[in-house]
Amino acid sequence: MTRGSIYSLLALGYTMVYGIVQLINFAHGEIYMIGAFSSLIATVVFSALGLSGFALFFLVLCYGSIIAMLYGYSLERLAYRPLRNSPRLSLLISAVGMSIFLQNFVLLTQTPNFLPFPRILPQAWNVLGISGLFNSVQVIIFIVSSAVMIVLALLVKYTQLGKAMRACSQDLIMAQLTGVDVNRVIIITFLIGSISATIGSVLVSQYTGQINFYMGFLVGIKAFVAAVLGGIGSITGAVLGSYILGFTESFGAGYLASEYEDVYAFVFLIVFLIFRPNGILGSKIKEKV
Amino acid sequence: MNDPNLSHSSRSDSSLFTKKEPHLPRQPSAKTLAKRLASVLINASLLLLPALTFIIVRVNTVQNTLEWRLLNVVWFWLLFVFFLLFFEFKPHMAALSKSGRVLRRLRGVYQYRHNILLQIFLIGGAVLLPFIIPFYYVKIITFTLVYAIFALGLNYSVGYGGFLNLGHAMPFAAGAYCFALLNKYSALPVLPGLLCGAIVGLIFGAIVALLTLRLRGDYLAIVTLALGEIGNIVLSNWDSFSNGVRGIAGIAQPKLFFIELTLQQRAIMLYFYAVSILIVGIVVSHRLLCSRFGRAWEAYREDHIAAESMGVHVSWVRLSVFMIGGCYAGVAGVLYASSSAFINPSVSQILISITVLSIVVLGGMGSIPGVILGSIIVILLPEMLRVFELYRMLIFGALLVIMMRYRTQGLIAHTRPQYLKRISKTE
Repeated sequence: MTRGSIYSLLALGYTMVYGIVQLINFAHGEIYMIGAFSSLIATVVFSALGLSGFALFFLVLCYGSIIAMLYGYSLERLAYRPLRNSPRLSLLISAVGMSIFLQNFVLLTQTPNFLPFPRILPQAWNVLGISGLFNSVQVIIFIVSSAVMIVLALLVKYTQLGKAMRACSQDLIMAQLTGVDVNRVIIITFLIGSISATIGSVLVSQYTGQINFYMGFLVGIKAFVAAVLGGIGSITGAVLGSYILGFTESFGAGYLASEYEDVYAFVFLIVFLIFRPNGILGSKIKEKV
Repeated sequence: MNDPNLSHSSRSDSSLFTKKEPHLPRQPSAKTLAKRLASVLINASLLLLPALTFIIVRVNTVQNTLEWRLLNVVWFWLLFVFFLLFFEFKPHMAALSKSGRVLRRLRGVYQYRHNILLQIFLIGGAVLLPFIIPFYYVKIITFTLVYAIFALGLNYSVGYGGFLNLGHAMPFAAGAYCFALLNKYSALPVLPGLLCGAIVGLIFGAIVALLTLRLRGDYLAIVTLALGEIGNIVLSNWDSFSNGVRGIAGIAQPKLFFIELTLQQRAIMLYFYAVSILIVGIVVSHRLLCSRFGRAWEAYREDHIAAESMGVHVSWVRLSVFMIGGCYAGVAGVLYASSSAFINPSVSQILISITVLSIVVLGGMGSIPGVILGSIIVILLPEMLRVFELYRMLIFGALLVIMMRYRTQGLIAHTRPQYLKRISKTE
């Protein structure tokens, strides 16, 4: 359940970006990692100012999101916008390049080691009078991620911006012709993705208690796997896929060998894509000549 | 069939990215220059602002305090201004196209195949080289050659077929482990090992192709990535098979007709193996590209629907591209295992796949001299300049982005061999 929630927070970012510009944002996992590092800096600063508990948690989230948004913006401007009209292969290579760059940037400017992340949230709650039934971090992860998903779903469905996003994902040129500021919509999509990734990374580091520069890579790939499982481009699909992936991994690690934990997700993806190349909720795309 | 107009398609595609030089007045006034400078500075610093957050501040978790490193800002700005001047105020497109012209002339020399003198000169140089330069460099050059073979393999799927393959390290690791294990348990020498590596690589390439037969584009990229990662995890964890992360040591090196050789002689022997395999690889690659297969691959890359309707067997295109590429990778893996005498699961890391990909992209997708130039730049140069070791991956990443933006076709652009022209000239 915890894993599923985290994957879904990341997968949302992938699937929204993909829906609009048809690009695998390989650097999304790196944004997640950057969110975690900025939040760590913020934690140190704000706890030195004497804050603690939920106020601290909220402020840390805000700071981390702002930094991650800045990175997301620069990423889009530097690596993706100049290539918007070029073939998919070059966009993809540019994304891979950006991912390597950001990883090594953090490695060089911060540290190659694991950093401990201080716990902000309380360890355990009394739920219905029984203490220790749930780890409170897990409960918070679930609550926060559901809230983010609901907000996003409402945003896409009911607001003007959401309408513009849906228009862009159907046909970018047509949306532009009807007066949608495509660049703005794409930027906003990247920003939203960065925020949800940061929330995910802060929650995860509360859960695991440590971060390093490599943390985003594998999680990013798995979140993408989740988005693909659900059928990329669809938000409900991404959430569904994430939970399926989370359960598969947990059960695989629990009942089979735990060192092959990462393998299950990938094998699941490969087998799944052989039989249904467009994902669970993905529609079959007719190609025009 | 070989209409010269058609053969330019890859080049005309790339002209989309080369911006036309902005039409500037002859002598821009100081005011406009200053304005332009200001706007560029503001834009660029806004975009790079977030980078500062990590450059200045670092968390010291032991004392739970922050380290402020304000001095770094100075370095950062110096670097930044340097790059800005380099990119914005040189008419950079002109500079790039000038270097392009030099490279084109080089390619002209390369393509002039009837120049037997040149070929003899090159091969003679390759033969004499290990006896002139120090032993250490022989090893590095062998390593570069191995990567060139490896990258030629990836060039089939990325360059000719247009499939983004992020799991090319899997057949490489398969070849390396196959040879290492056979050598360990049945003392297999290097030459039959190369054959085994080729076969194993072929099989693994076929597996990748069969598993991804229905996928295209991004899905294909992610599945190849996943397959490579599965390979890495299995090799790291399956102790009884691969000896886990400890790896396999003491892999045999070549002998000359059962005569034991010294360390230097063995290195030179491996160098010759690598050179001869690379030459064979280049010839095969070039001949295949000119054949019916090569035309089918390129037709598929340019437009798969049109190719299919013209009768190109689509599944076979994919299978053949991945199988031949896997074969090259397997051979490269055997050479790698033999020359380093020790392997561990790091040969199947995603890092290796990405290094090879950056060789191919940098050199020029689909172009054989480009791939060789790329492996020299990516493998040989960092080995020579050990100082930059820390920054190597950082530069790779930035290079991939910059190449995609300014010179998508790579350092040496791929062009189809043109026959009609030459025939008409001789007539």
